[in-house]
Amino acid sequence: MTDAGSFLDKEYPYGFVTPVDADAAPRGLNEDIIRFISKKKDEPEFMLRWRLKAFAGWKKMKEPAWASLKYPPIDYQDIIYYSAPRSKKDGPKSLEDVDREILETYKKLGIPLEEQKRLAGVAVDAVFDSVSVATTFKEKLKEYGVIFCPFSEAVRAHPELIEKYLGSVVPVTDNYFAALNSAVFSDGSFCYIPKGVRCPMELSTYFRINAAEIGQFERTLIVADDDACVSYLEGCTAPIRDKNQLHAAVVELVAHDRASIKYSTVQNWYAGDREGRGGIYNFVTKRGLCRGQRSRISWTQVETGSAITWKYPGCILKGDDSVGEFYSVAVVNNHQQADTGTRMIHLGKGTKSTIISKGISARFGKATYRGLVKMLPNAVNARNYTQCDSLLIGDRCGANTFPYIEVENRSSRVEHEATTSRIDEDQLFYCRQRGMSADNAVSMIVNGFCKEVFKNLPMEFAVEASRLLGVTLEGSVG
Amino acid sequence: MNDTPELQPYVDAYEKLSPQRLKEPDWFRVMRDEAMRSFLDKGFPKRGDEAWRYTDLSAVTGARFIVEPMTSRFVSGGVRFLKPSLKANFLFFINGQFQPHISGIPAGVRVIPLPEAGNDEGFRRAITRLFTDEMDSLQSLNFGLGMDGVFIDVPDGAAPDCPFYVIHWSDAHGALCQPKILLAAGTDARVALVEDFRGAEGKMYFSNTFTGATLAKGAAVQYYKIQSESRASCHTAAMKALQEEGSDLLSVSLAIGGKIARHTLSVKFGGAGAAARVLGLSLGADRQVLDHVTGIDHASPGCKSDQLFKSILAGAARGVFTGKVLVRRGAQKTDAHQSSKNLLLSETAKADARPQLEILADDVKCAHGAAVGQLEEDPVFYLRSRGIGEKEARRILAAGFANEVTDAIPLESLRELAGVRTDEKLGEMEAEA
Repeated sequence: MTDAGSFLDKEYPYGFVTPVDADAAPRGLNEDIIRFISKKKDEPEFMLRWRLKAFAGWKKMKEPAWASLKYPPIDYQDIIYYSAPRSKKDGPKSLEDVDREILETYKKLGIPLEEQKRLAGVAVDAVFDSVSVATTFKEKLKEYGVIFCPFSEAVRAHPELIEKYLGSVVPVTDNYFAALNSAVFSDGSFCYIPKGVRCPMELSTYFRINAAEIGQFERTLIVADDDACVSYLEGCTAPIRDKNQLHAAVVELVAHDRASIKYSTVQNWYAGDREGRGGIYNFVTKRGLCRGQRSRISWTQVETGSAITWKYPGCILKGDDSVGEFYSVAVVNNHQQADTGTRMIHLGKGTKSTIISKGISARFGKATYRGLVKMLPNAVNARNYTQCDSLLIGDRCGANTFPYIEVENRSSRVEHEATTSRIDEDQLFYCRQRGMSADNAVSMIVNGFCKEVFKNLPMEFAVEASRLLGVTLEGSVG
Repeated sequence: MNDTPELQPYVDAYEKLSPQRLKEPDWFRVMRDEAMRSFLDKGFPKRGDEAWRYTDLSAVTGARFIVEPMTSRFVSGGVRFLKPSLKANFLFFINGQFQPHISGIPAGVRVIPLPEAGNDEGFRRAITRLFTDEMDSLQSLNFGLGMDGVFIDVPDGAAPDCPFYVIHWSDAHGALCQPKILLAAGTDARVALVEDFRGAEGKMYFSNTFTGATLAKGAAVQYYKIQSESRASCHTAAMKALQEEGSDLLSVSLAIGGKIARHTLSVKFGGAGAAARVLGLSLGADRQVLDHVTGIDHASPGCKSDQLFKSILAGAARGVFTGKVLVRRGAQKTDAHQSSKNLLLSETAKADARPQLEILADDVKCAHGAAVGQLEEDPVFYLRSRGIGEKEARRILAAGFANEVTDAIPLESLRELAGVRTDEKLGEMEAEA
């Protein structure tokens, strides 16, 4: 068998730094920094007020300590809250205006921004540090009435939509990291699908942290009006740095009557080195509101990166007969820690939710599933099915499962199952006997373990996810 | 130190007990001091405490209890009527006080009342092992202020022919009953312990009990608890078992009475190849809150734990289950299974389940499951189609659901008793369904 060390040779392929001039805010956080960000973004007055309210709330809050995560305290005054590639006065008007270096970056990452070369059907919003640098296929989307643009642009062009929906799912003081994000978020993507429109292509945002010592705080808001339908992809990478960097994002989804939103993430932030140095601290608040009847929100996530992941994408099932889904694969290797799961809050009659969570821990990794399923008294005939499986590779890793089940009416049914085991020796032996290498055998078994989640990813993402899984776990079985 | 005025009566009570405490050996006094300090530090559990997320103890924290021994309206012999008709060594407690003169002690086993146990080496060994800093504040309160109890010492290889049956009777309004039952099972010993909690209806008292068992190599212990306290009372009980190599524990807990009742069971495997089978049944009616907490600590390899907790809830009752399985590093070949099943009979009943796995070893088989729902309509229809009335059909099905727990009791006479108590309660709950 290969020795466990061979994993070391597999470098994080996205760990390069792009040499671009950056326009950054001074280090630290106070009201002036917030005013600075708001001014940089040329925001209307209501946004600044909103941010300051969030900041005031944040100052009163305490960093949550309940997660099964160990990390040194974060000095929030030692972070640069805004960094933008220095570009022409009003930002790039078209792709030609985007900095060559940045275009190259995205090319290296495999995210071509040049539309003509695009694989059919994915519109990309690329976020570089604190700003969105390019959005593709804008014109085509416009024909359908779909708004897909950087958040800062949406604040200026569609303030009425922003004012209506921003913070409607994740209130400013929802939690410590959401409040921080609300105060200092700089960019992100906004997407609005009008009534009855099926979005003609997949929408995608690609997040890249480039500058050192900055925190990335982006905000995504997706609104699907009645009968609308959209599939959205999110990807992320960062350079290799010794120092931990903070990423605190907020994603809000709103689905009106019969609307459907599918949100897929492949999270591959830099995870730190073999000894656990460096890596991204990923504290993310993601929540969807199934506001209308028979609406549907589906989260699919593949978490392979980040030194620390703290993330609980959830659904509030308010509309009658609405549906929430959560499919997750979390892989932790080396010294990575992930505390992730979901919250399904059933308010409406006949609401349904499905949770499939797969955790894979290798070497010193620690993966925790933490989930809440709550059936409120009015959620008559609501239904939940949860399955959480953990796979352990090596005797130094850990896996926790902490589900919370709260049922307040008798007609609803909740089922939860969880298992923890290691890769079956017999399966490994069977594969090896047929001439497969240990790595390939592990990769194949793990992919099989994750199949139920991968099949919910859009095709290209599924391929990437499965490949990523193989790379992440390479050499973990010795 | 926690400076809340609600704790002052406990500080005063501790002072008042000092003449009695002074009679105890030094090591015991140190332990009490430590426990009391820990209790005063932490105070009573608060609503915001994660461990008490679903169970509100404010009825206890707000009330004034009397720590001194309280007399019963019975002359102590009178409680003999509580004796169920089965063969056992009966030990009586009234309002938390041991009644040695009416208790039966078989030959070959030492049963020592706690106030006299201080100089006993076996007692010292058992209690110091059971007293750890992992205890919650209520257990600390028991160790700090609880003066009475018994120590049951079953020597190596002994197997008393019938169970020890402890009857706890409480009938004094405002009493704080804090007995301790300690059981030391020697190598290859086999012993069964039953605790039956009864109370005078309408009396508001607080039972905060501690039961500890140490199982030496190859010992087999059966522990049964039937909790039928007064419906105005609060009941918080901790059961802790320390298991050595190859020992075997069966624990069954029935929660029937009490306004607020929590049973906390913790098992620690300190030797390889030990096994624990742990079951619980909560039957909640009215506005009862019945809470089961378990913690199985797989600190040694090759151990097996199997948990089944069920609740049937009517009225506006709340059933809570929190179960944790911890598999420590190096505890390979662990087999842990846990299941929580909850049946809601009324619109206003609530069920909360938190099955938790914390696993730090890889060669393990661990699984948990939880389910909440109502009675299936098909079986009801099946029974009705055979001429059984709707109500009766539902009662049969609920009883069948409960029987999975009581059927695990191998002692026939006790299984029957548990069945009778279960049926009584289900009859009451029927009205609230």
